[in-house]
Amino acid sequence: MNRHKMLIVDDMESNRLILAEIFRSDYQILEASDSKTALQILEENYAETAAVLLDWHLSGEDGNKVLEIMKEKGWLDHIPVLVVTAEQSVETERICIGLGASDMIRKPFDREVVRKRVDNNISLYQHKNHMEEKVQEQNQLLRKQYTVLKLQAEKLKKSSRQMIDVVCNILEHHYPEFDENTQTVREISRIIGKKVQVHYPEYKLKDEDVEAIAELAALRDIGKLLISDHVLFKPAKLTKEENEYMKSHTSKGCEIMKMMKGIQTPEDYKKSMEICRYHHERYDGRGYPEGLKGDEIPISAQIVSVVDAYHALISERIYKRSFSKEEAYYMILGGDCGIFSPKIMECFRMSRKEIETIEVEEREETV
Amino acid sequence: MNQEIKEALAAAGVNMEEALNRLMNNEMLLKRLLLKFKDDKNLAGLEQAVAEKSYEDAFHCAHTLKGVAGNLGMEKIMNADVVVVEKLRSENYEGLEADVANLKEAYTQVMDVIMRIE
Repeated sequence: MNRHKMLIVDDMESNRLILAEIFRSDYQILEASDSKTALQILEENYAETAAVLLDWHLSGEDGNKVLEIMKEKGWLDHIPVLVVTAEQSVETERICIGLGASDMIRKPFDREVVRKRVDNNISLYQHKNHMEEKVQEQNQLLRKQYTVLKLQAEKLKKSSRQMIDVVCNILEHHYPEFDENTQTVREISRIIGKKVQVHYPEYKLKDEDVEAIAELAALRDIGKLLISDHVLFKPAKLTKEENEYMKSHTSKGCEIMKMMKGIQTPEDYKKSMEICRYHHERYDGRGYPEGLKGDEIPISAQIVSVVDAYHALISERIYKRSFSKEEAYYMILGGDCGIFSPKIMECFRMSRKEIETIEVEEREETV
Repeated sequence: MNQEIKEALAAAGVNMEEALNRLMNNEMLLKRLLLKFKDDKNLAGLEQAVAEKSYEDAFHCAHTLKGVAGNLGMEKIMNADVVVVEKLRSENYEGLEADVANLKEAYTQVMDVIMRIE
């Protein structure tokens, strides 16, 4: 910013002329004979004014007003005001400095002293203004970089979600068990997740958490990719050993997610691990693999586990027929298919209508 | 301004060197300001205000005169005026009229020379 102007405020023309003479080789001199004109001139030349030399009357009213309004408008932060006065009293000095004047010049003044004093104040303020501009520039730069970073994070999240969609598609194609699984499971998880978010703030779920849980719910059984087909598709009851082996799909899921760690955001990775590992835990501690109890089970896994149980009931499996939504709803509430927390049960109950509506819509789509 | 005028001004208590120094040795400007001083109404204003006992106005006039005279190196005027200013400030009006008369004498001496400037 080029500040090349200087404003001299004095009602006596001869006083203005004397000061103007000293500075006119270095500055474009602006003159005002009263406070009103002075403020008008400042309004128009604020950004180019290097300093104000302000005559101080005994009554002080005029000078007072100039300082007050300059302070109000924030101009005093950038322009030094030097009070010029014939007053010798300390009292006047105290008032002027108190109102924000940066220095005093006493009449009659010495040319060299005036020039030096004004120059000193101007260079001090120039330095200050320069620093402020620098800080502002830096702030702008930081903001810009922050936006870029945010965009990149958004992009990373999006591409990792796309990757997960691809994996889910492969699952759907190769394993009948996953058929039509992805979308339905995501929708139900989203509905229940939102209920938990609204009714149980203690879980501190944010919108993006609910969204992530819904998206990642489809991955809960990814570990089954590592389960042998003869067990996975066995058309009869599993032996005890086979059943234990089957249960390992939870930790096997984590192994697969570990391989995808680099392409997920840390938050998504954490939730993916929770969901894969703990979606077969039970509220009473009798689930697997770790037998976690109550809220030891991460909320993401609690939500997905009820969705998983419900979805299994309404789907046809190699070992069972599909149940109607109504049957499935009462079986879950009756505790026939797992023990869930009372809070999750409450959310499930509240979600019944919405869950049944999506399924209707989906069926219409497939027709 | 010729030498004679300058000497006369100095004799009337004007510190020419200081005044010129303050004006970056711009003699034309000093001349202009001296001529402008002819129109200065502060002394007349001071006299009138003192006569009317409106001391606040008197103080204002005397104070402004002090600044102007000081800037132009009119030391004698300024010194006489300081006495008036301080009396008015402390609201001690004893002998004030004599002090104003004293100021006027110094003032007239300078003004007589200024009148001769062409």
